[in-house]
Amino acid sequence: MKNSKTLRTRNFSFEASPVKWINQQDAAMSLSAKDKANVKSIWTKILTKSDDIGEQAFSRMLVVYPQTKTYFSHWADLKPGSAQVKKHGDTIMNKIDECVNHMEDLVPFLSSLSELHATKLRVDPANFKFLAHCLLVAVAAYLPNDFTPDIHLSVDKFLQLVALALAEKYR
Amino acid sequence: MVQWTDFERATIQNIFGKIDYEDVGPAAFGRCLVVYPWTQRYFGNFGNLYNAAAIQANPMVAAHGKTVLRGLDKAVKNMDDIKATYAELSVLHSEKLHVDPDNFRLLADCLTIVVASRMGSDFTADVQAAFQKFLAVVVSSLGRQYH
Repeated sequence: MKNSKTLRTRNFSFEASPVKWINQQDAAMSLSAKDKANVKSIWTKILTKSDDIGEQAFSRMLVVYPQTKTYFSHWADLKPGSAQVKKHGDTIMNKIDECVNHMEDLVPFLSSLSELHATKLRVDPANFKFLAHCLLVAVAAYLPNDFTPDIHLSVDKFLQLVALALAEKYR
Repeated sequence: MVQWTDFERATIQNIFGKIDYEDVGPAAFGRCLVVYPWTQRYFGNFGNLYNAAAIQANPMVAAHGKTVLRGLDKAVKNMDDIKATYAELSVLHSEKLHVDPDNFRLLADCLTIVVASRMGSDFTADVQAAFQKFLAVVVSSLGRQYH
């Protein structure tokens, strides 16, 4: 339920903040009806190439932001195209696909994943934006004509909220 | 001084040789104004920026997009001293235009996405890494003279 009182935050930069807000929507730029429609609309196209896009996004992140590889030092092969990279890109993308159907309740929907990332994986939430950016790049490369600036804006906001929900249990 | 591999140098020359500045400049700058609307604060005199359609059709936006890409071209031609190349422009953006340097990063992200959409599968992960490294150096140089 959107809180009618909007909290004036400072220019909100894309850092997934583990700070507990009373209403998550006060903390971030929340999704309008138009944003939700935009996300659903582009996702019908993304779903037809979800595996490729997921793999692309994840493998790009490992190449473009090499510091992210530190979380996968236990893997044999981190190069794009490796079986582990493909599988993990898939896993992540499938979950993001599901989030599209849970835009109203991202925090509860991602609660156990947040717990996992916070307590077991302990991924610095600053890294979520790198994956988000690479996902945008992959979508732009695969769907150049559909990924208009308005759609880009809505997807960017959506991914920010996913990142925030994922960081919810950190502290 | 920034170290560039042969691959990185070749990639940057290749990308900027391929893209149409008149297309990519306006597309990237317009996208930035839409996706990060607070960036519009610097362009009060640009007229109608009311929605994405207006921004895309706005001739001042297009002109400025081209200006930005031509400015980038200087770095492409001087990859070994981007810092010195942008010293004056950095002072301008800080002292005269008062632009928050975080905005350069936002524009760089939009440029990456536009180039990805133009190049498709040619914009591989390695190419993306080289392109983003180049833009990171540009962004850093533009922010360098701020105090």
